[in-house]
Amino acid sequence: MSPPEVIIIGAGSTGSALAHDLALRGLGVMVIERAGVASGTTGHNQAQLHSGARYAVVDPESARECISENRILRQIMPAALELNEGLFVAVSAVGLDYAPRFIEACQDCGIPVQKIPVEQALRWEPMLNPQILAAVQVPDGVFEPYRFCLSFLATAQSNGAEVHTFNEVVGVDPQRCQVQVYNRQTGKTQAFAADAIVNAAGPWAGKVARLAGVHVEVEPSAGVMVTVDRRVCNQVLNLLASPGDGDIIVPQRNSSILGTTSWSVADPDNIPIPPEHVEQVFSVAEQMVPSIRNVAVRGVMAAARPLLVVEGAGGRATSRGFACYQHSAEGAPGFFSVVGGKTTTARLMAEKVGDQVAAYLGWDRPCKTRTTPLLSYRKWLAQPISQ
Amino acid sequence: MKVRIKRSLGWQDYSVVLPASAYVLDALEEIGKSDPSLLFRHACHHASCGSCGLRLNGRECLACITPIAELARSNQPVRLEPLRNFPIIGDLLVDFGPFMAKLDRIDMPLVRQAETHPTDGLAYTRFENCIECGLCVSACPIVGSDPHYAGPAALAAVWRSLEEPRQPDVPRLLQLTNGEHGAWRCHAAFECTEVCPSNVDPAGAIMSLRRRFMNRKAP
Repeated sequence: MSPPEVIIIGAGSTGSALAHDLALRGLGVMVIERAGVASGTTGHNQAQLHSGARYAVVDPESARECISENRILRQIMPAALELNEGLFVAVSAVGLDYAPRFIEACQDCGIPVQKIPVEQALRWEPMLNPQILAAVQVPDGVFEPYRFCLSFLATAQSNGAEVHTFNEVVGVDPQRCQVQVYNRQTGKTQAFAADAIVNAAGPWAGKVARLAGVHVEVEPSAGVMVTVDRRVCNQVLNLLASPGDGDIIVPQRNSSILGTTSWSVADPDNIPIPPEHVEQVFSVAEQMVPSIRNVAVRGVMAAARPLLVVEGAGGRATSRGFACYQHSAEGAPGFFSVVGGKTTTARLMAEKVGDQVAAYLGWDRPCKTRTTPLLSYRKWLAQPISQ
Repeated sequence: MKVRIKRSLGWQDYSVVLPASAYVLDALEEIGKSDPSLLFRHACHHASCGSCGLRLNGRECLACITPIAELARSNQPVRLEPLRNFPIIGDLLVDFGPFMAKLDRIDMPLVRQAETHPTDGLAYTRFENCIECGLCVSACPIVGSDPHYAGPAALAAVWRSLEEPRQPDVPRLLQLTNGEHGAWRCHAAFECTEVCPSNVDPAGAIMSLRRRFMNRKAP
């Protein structure tokens, strides 16, 4: 008997990690992506491999997930990570006051944290603001979002998964677990059926849900990032303060990504870049690297995060956490929607969604992605594109 | 703004409205909204993934960081074509398979030790500058004439590996590149270095490899 089959809509970090998770459990997997791998939110990423420190004070649960996943990713995809540490720097008395609380919160979450003498931080980071008052080091890092996804997909494919890029889902029958797919290369539309469908379209999850006639609440929240033409720091720089807009500088290769801002957008396909957001990103970044405006701009980009909407006692709130909804109440128990999350914790999301989907399918093989090293992204690129 | 794209079936003209700050990739994404049959690849939008390379008015560039407004000032359409020296899958989409196979033979690491280690204890890694975008391979006048030529990206990768020998197989690398399909095939046009968006300087690397081979042969 052949194993149950699952269609995954979207080849961003969620869909890619899930394809690997389910394929490793022995399930049949078909990924359908409207453009290239990581062409949406995951690709347009500030690329920070979180240690969790950013969330330690405000969201300890996310922080614990981040440090745990950070450790796992170092083992399973070392070639897609820059292991370059992260520095939180205080530039004002407010930041200095925040430091003890920050360090304690990191320790509570199991995040290795170390106070660094200012002189030492300045030796490490010659472009850092010499006026900083304190520096704290955490195991942040940098990932390559495209190759992050490709590593998962290459491995999924070696375990039998089919990945169809440049194929757009144009219709969903969630009750019968069927999708209509427009092949951008051939111009033909074809139907595919499976035993379960997972909507992993990130900020487009609401759009896919509408195609399926079910309801999913996801808030696309855009952010502006500016990439400058120089590696201005060796480590990821974070402003030591309560998390805010534009307070991270991520070095990647010989460039640096500054960001990011946050505002709600209606359509993740249409994000005009407000010039004042670019200015805001620079004005915060220059608190950490005063000469940042002298570095040539390489590019300005925006992406929409898929924010989870939480209805609570205090009203409607959004979160960087994630949820997996099974649309049983809408008559479609085989249709699942994943909402929210961030790339650092994509594997964990995939594990939890995989557990849920496998349970629905009566497939009792456990998740093995924690300890399974991934294949090189080149294994994916070395083969012709899926037709 | 007028954009003329070399598609699988021939040239096609498009007209798009874009903000002054738009990049070539923004134009493609805008066109893609009304013509989903247009095939092109992109991911990071900041010149790190290396997937959106193409030729703009005959010159290799990354669509994601190349501003389009300046080019569109004249009445002439902006011409976009796929990279050369790659099999074409469709429209601007090219097959990276043979290119990756060449890089795979060299086993170029994507992550390197940082070149400067401050004295007090910060050890970190960083990604290689080469983003494997293939612009150098497209611009090279030799790649098309010798399918076995390792090509600028792979030769630059070899030079990197020799500079920072983390793999034991240095003799194999030298053997792979000290021959007619290796560093000696280059005709020193330096087009690769000219188009590299990441300052890798493949031509410089090829010249350095040649010097190394020459020195080894000297008595």
